[in-house]
Amino acid sequence: MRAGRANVGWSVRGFLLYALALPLLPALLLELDGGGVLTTAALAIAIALFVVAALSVRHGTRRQRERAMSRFHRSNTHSLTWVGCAAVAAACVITQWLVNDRSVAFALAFGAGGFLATYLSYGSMWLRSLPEPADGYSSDEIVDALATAEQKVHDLQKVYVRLPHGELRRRLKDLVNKSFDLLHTIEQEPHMLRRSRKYLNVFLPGVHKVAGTYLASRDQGADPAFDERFKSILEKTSRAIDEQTTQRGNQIAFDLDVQMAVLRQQLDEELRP
Amino acid sequence: MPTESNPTALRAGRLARKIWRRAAGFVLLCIVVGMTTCSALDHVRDNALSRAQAEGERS
Repeated sequence: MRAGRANVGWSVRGFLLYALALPLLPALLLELDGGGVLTTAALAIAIALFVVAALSVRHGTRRQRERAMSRFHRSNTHSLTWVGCAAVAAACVITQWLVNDRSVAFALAFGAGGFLATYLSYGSMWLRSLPEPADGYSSDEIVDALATAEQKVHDLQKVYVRLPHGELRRRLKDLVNKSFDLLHTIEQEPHMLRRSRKYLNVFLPGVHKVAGTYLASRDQGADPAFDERFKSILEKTSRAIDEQTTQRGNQIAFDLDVQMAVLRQQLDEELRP
Repeated sequence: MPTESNPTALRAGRLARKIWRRAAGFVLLCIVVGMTTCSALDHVRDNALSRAQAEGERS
């Protein structure tokens, strides 16, 4: 499952890397006109590395902004940070060593400086951790499932806002609140994802689809009998979430019972004269 | 009220650290990468001038 792309607007972050690499373009043109092959190749590679770094940073920033718009969406952008830092470091080393004819140690020092500078500028914002993998699901799968479901619940929220006050609106609002509660529970206890997959993969998308069609047909003055049927669907879906919550409560009670029994047995054995 | 229990002070501290970190990164990036690329252009330009001069002397 993949979360829907949010409209996060445009950002200038990462353009500094393009701007700082600009002097390499006239240098490449000058080298192309009778310069050495090695220097020309080094300049071309350095430019490509700066472009890779800027693209990584911009892509990471975009994901970060998408993530900020959602409670659950957490993209793993650590790899993008390291790609950006490594690309800047490599570009600095290559340019200093092969173009500026500096010593390897000097070039490496500049590479380290470039790595640190890129990390400080762009890396520190991507350090939010992902949830632990659980029950056969990877962290990314958990986050994607939550983000996709969250998007659908947000859509349902938009539907109930457009409905007139009454029983139907109240039920849909109740379903939205319960769905958010369930998503928060799954976030805290990722092993709940497997138990809730029927709701997340079947019921929620179904209600989401029906709600969209219902709203469209309602705007065109459809049969009021649909109101009752939709109300019934909402009630059943709400009951499905309640069952999930009850099952979770039973599981917690069972776990507590087992833990207490084990502890009591240990204490009895320890305190036996 | 101690700083540890004041959420506003904590947020302000985090924000100040973030701004400081980004500013340091920005300055370092400008110095390191700017120096590298500008000196590369300078170096290449010098080489091109030397080549042109040598060609002129030959002709």
